[in-house]
Amino acid sequence: MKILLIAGITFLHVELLSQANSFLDRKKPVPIVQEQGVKKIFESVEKGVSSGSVPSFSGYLGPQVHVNIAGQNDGYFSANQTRAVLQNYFLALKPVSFIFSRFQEKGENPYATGRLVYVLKGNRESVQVYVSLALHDSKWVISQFNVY
Amino acid sequence: MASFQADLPSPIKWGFFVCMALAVLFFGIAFLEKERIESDWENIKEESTEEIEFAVTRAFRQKVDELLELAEKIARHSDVPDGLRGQAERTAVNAFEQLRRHLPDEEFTLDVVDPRGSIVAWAGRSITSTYENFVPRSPRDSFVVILQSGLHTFLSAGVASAGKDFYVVASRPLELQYPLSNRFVNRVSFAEELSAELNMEIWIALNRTSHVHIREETRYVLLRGFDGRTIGYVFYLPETLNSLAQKSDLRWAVWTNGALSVGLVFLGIVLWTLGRKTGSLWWRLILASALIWGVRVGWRLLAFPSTVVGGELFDATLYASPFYFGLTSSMGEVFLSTLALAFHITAIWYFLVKEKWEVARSEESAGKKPLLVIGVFGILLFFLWSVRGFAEAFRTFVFDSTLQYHDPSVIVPDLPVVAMHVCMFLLTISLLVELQVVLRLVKNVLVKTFSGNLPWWMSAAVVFVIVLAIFVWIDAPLHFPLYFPVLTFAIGIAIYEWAETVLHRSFGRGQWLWRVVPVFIIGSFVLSSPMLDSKLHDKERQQAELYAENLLRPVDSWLSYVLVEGLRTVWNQFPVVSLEPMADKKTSLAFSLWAQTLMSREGYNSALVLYDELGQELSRFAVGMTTFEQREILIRLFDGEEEVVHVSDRLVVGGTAQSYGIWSTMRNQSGRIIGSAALMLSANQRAIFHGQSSDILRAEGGLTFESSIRDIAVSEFQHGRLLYTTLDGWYRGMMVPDWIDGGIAEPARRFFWRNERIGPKEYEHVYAFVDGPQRRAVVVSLQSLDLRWHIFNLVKVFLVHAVILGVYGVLWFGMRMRVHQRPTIGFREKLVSAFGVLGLIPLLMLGYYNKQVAEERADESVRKTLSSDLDLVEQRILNLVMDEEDFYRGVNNDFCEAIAPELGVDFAVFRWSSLQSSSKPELYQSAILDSRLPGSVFANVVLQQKNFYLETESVGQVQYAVGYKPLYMHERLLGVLSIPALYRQKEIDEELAQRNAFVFGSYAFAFGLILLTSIVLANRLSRPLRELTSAAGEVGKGNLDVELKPLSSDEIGELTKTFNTMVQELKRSREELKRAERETAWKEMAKQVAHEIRNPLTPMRLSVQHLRQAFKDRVRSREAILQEVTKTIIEQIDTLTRIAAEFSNFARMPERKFERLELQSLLQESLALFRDMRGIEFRTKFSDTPVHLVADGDELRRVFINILRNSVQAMKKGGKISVETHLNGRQCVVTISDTGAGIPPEIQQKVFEPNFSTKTGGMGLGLAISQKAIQDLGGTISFTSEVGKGTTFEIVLPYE
Repeated sequence: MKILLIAGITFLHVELLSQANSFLDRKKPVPIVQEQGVKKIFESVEKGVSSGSVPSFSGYLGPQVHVNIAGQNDGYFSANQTRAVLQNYFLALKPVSFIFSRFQEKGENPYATGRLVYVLKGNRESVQVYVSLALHDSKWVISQFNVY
Repeated sequence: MASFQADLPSPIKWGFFVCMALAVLFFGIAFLEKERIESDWENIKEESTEEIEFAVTRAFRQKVDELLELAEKIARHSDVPDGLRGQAERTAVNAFEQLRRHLPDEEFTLDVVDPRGSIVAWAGRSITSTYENFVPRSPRDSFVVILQSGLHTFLSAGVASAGKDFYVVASRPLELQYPLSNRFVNRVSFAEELSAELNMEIWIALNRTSHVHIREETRYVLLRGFDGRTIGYVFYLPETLNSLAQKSDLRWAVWTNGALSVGLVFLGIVLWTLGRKTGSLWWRLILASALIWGVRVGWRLLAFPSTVVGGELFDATLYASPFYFGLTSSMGEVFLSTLALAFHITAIWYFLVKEKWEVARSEESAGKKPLLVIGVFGILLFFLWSVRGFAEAFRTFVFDSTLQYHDPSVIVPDLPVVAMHVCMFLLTISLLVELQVVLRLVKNVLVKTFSGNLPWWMSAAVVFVIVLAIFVWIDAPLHFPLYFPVLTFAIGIAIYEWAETVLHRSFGRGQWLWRVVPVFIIGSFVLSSPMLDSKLHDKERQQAELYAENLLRPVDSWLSYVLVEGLRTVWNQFPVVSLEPMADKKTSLAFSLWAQTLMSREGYNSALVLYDELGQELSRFAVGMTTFEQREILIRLFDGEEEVVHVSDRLVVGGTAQSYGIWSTMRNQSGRIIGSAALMLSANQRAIFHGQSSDILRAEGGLTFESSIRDIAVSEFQHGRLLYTTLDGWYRGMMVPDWIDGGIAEPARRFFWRNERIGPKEYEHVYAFVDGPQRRAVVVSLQSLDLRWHIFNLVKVFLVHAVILGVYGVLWFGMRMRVHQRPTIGFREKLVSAFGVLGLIPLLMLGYYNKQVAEERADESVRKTLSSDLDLVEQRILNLVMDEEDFYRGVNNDFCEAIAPELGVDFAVFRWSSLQSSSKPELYQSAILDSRLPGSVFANVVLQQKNFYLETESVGQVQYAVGYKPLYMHERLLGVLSIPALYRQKEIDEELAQRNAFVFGSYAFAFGLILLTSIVLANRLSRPLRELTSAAGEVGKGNLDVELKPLSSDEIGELTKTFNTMVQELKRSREELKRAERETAWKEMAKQVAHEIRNPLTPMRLSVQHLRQAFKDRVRSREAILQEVTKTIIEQIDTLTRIAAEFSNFARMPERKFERLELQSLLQESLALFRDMRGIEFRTKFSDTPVHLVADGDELRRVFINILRNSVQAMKKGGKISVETHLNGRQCVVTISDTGAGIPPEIQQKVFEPNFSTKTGGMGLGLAISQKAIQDLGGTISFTSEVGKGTTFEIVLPYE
């Protein structure tokens, strides 16, 4: 019993810092992204951005995403970092509305762009958002997320 | 409750309550503040407006005053004006040099102007070509003005000289106008300074306001010059009630959460103090775990300390990883989590060691053997899961961060990198400590259930290897190198054995932990370095794959988008920007718009051309595109439709280049055409997202792969042949390797890795393929790092561990000072320090000297290179130019751009003090480089006619060397030629970084060697002294069987021999003393026996004599007398018997029955005999930890009973008896106190002497026997007593 208790505590610690591909993660169902078309991904992004909720589309982030938030961050970040960076960005401003106004769904580098309206310190502002996808391991992933 | 109060130290109690009180206080203040804001809003608004106006005016005034002070100092209190008034060239040159010396830094500009506003001397970059419009007409002697020049807006202040024949104008940049921001551009912003100071959004409009977007609620503050003229506006959005209330809430929330967070820690300690006494070891472990992680999660939920500290440590762009509750959402959070983890695991280990937990003995667990074996396998399997988790954690430290762990340009890592190294250190420590727990369990099971001759660790290793094989089968592919768990296990066993050795030396409580820490630190370094290296290598490979993938991607969508967005930007900004005043509108207008487009930020070779409504070219700016290229693209563009992207391919040196173009008319709001714009972009295959334009024009951020320390080469195959390559050793046209065809046939695999040695270098190639008619394959080649880089990287990691070791050393030293009240540094440590310092000083001197020499050589090399390049360019120009007129007309930008690639060097030509032409005109057009010849260059080259002059200039944060040379034709000065080293700055920086890295690595390696040798030497030299010290200690404890072997024939050897002789003498003396003591003791004993025996014999004799007489005298009562005499004789015989028994007890050789017993239970049993005593109150206070020892239970019980009985007998009228136990290191202290009469001082010395007693009828042997029993157990017994107050006996016994 005591051994199991120590083992349990140890195991918990293993999982505390086991990030991707942890034993528990392996048991979770993996979203079948291949079946989501490009359009579906853009819909998820649109929904997520308009509500300021990154987890809505964070599953589609590629292993390296080019993030450019005007006046703030510009560079390549991992999927985890991208999630955190975008989460922090949306926390600071309160999105009011967002719709993709232009799409380029064909080709090997589909993209969509639209206007995000938000409220910051009581004032209504807007920025342009550009999202593009790329194929990675035969799956569409978000490779670029720019805010101008 | 009383116990709770008694147990908790005061600081903890107070800390908890103070924190809670503060939290409530801050919460209350926040509430009241909010109420106050709401009720007094109008007044607050007014006050706020006044404060803002005051702050803005004051800040602006400060800047103006600073410039005025500088200008005044030069104009009225220096020799500069005098120098300029002089006719001789020498005095003018001196004036220039003096002016240069007055420059506070490269940000400032100093211009000396005549009353017409013409510049006659200068230092710093040019602001304007003339101050004609700004020099005051009236007798005023100073002026303030704001000017736009290049990338910045400048604040200028001028002061007249004493004779008013000159004005000295001091300027500095106020605001950066364009989003172009990298290390070459000075990012300065008055608006941002004000925003930071006032904590609100501020923007500034200088000179014009028409293009500023002003909202209804915007307020402004005027910036005025001396004449009252408005020279600028500072706009701000005033706070609203909601925003101010939110700010207040946020501010007080930080304080409240801070107080709650600290209070949480105290609460944890309080709960621990309350809970630790109840329950078993396991309960305490669970409680400790829950409390540690409860505090950690609580801190996260309260956003502490991220809201207080902030900064890079909590910046997600540096590191972020998802985990529950956000425990790893930034570096700071990871640090706290790994700290909690390390603390938790160490606590588990500490408790297990302290409690000496072990598996039940083999005879009790025989039936459970199979379960125990399965348990061992299970534990080791779980440990391997921990190793997996450890490797995954390191993976996130590398992959989820943008930190450059092995930045070659820095020797000492910066704070974020150090913070991550500390996190890795804590994680590695946790792993090693966890392994100690695992090994303890495994050893327990193996030793208790299996017997054999093999050492336990060998059996454990065999089992571990089997478990590892099972794990590899379950979890393939592995997340860590296969050698890693084996190395970890080996290090774990070494640490375990070392820790056991330290434990057995019976150090005080907690001290053993201090002594094993350095071993853990070293173990952490050994384990974490290769793991970090492994993950960094994996990341580089991932980046290479990404790079290759980007190169393969067809460009149309992205580049088309870049162009279209660029056009959109021009549409939006042209009406605004075209109205701004610009010094050189012809290039500035196009540059201003270009700098705001996406293509400029991405660094593409691009161009923007603007036309007016009549179709005349208004302005043009181009980067990396020649005029010829632009013309070709424009011709094709204007043949096509507007707002449509046109694409064409061109074959260029090094590959193919695709050109993109788009054009459109621009209309105002009423629909009238106001002009048109054409955008062009050229990108060759190699750089798809980050084009070929130099770093200077690229914004910061972006792909950093090229800044890796490895050399990177790119190659492309098409149709089976190499199309282009930058790899030495491959050549254009070579065939694709055979195995690639097989690779292309595997559609699921996109990347293939191959290693290849080309000449002396080793490369890792990644091949990436794409389907298509061209059968393209891109190869990115990474050069393998040689040993020097590995050593450099290793040394940097070691530096961090050395600092941790140093911090630990300081803490340990402080602890020792606290315990010993004075610093104690061992002889060996002094020797190591002395050797270390002796070795380090010459190394440092040599390093410094080498650095100086290397820098001088680098400077000399740059000087020579620049000088020879200048000669080369001069020759070329003079060969091509016929006369002076040809020089001025023909040596233009195109000319320079044409010959620069041939000569392999970029250059610029100045005519008098202004730029005439350059091979990199965009850098001057964009005002990154100054179009005016520096003042000191003008003085030295033009006025003094020096043939070569080297100047160190700076642009932004970068310093670089520039060589200048006069150009003469027929002895007439045509101009000044300049070649900056800026364009090669990157190579120079890399070369310097590499040299620093190798030199540093070598020196660090040498120092490590010196340190190692010092330790070995110090050990050898100090060993005889340590042995002597240890032996002297043994002698002090009474062990005289010590004999040392002299290891040398020097003074130390002589000292050893003398010591041995002394010990022998001591031994002999002690033997003699013992013999004498024994004789004395026997004599005493015999005397005592004789005395004791005589006492009863006397009455016996008298009685018998009386009886004889009675019978002789035939006394009538002789029968009664007989009865009485026999009674007396029997009584005295009983007395003799008792005496004999007492002496027998005292003298007997102990035939004790040893058993393992629990001390506190024994005390309770002894106390139970006296509990019924009336009038006596018993109090007990025993330690938390049960105390076990091996002793004769009956004997020990008699000791306690003896003392308790003495106490009871000393309190005839009642009193209190307290019995307490507490632990002191490896000893248990039992105190028995009473409130009896006490022992008078004059007899205290004799209390333990045999046959001494204050009681009638007592033999006086009780305490003597007790003392002997305690001493035989290795303990001590002592007492303190005060007459009238009582006596306290203290018994100290060693325990298990």
